[in-house]
Amino acid sequence: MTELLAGIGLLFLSFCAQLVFWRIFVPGRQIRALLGIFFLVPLVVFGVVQLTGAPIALAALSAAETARLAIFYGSCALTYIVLFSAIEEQSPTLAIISYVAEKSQCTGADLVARFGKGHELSHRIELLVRSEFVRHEGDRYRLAPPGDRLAKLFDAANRLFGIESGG
Amino acid sequence: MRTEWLLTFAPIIGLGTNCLTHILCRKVLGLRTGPTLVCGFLLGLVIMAVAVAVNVPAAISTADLAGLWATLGLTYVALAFGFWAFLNLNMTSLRIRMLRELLHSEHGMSRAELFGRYSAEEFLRRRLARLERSGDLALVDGRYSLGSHKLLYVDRCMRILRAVIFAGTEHKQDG
Repeated sequence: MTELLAGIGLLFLSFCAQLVFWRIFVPGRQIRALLGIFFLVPLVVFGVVQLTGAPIALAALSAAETARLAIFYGSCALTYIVLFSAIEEQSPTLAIISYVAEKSQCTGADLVARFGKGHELSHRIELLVRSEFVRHEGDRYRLAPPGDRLAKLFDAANRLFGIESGG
Repeated sequence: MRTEWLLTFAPIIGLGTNCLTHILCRKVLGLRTGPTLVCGFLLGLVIMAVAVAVNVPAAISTADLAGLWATLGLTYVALAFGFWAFLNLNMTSLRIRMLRELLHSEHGMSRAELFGRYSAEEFLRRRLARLERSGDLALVDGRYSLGSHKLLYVDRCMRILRAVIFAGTEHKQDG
């Protein structure tokens, strides 16, 4: 039970740290900042527990229990970080659903007028440049090293898991 | 000692089973993505549950037992969700599609070339086809309407989270 409560507590603290940080300054590379926050918060908490010698159950966990806590915390934190890309920017699919719900009914022409102009594509290119995954050189876009690594990872996953190419 | 570590890694063993089942179902059995994801998730869950049931200590209080199952179960669900989200990004993310287009281009691409490889019409057509297939949109007499409210609720949750996280900042609130 200690691992579960400690894990939930650490997740809550990390989320609060994000809220505070975002109020002060919204980072340009939000995913990287989130990874930093969710990595540092438990280290700070464990450091404080060790330094102060606080007599809390967290200090009495065995190695296996600590690993269980780390895996629980890490997997939930990564889930949140993956979800965050959909929080940061509304996904185009959800935008279509939201638009149809707002209009109650609409024709294909309405949807083309709203979503068929390429604004979503342009916005995504800008986000890739802002996140430094892509470089804009002259009139051409090229992969920056982090973008190259990410593209290769997804390309390999596409082949390994037999996923149809999407977008 | 060994059983304690097996308990600790039970969700990772479940995730490994999930991944292997996915590869087997897609590459060997040629199943579609939807059933493959369900099979992988369920088999991984069963293997994880068996690993936990076999290794759970005999002398454990009910509260600790409940806590242990909740921790390991939630860990497996989070890992399986992460795996699904990773695969889903490959199938639906515009940004990943663009990165992969750029990876396969030798000298980079201009905006026009990127739009040529993946046009706004294709972007819309793919999404409408997926939404119709999943029953989220219904096309009746040439007019689209909501087939299910599931994604609308997801969108509302995302809007609430966006409002909480970005309140008081200059981030665009309506997505």
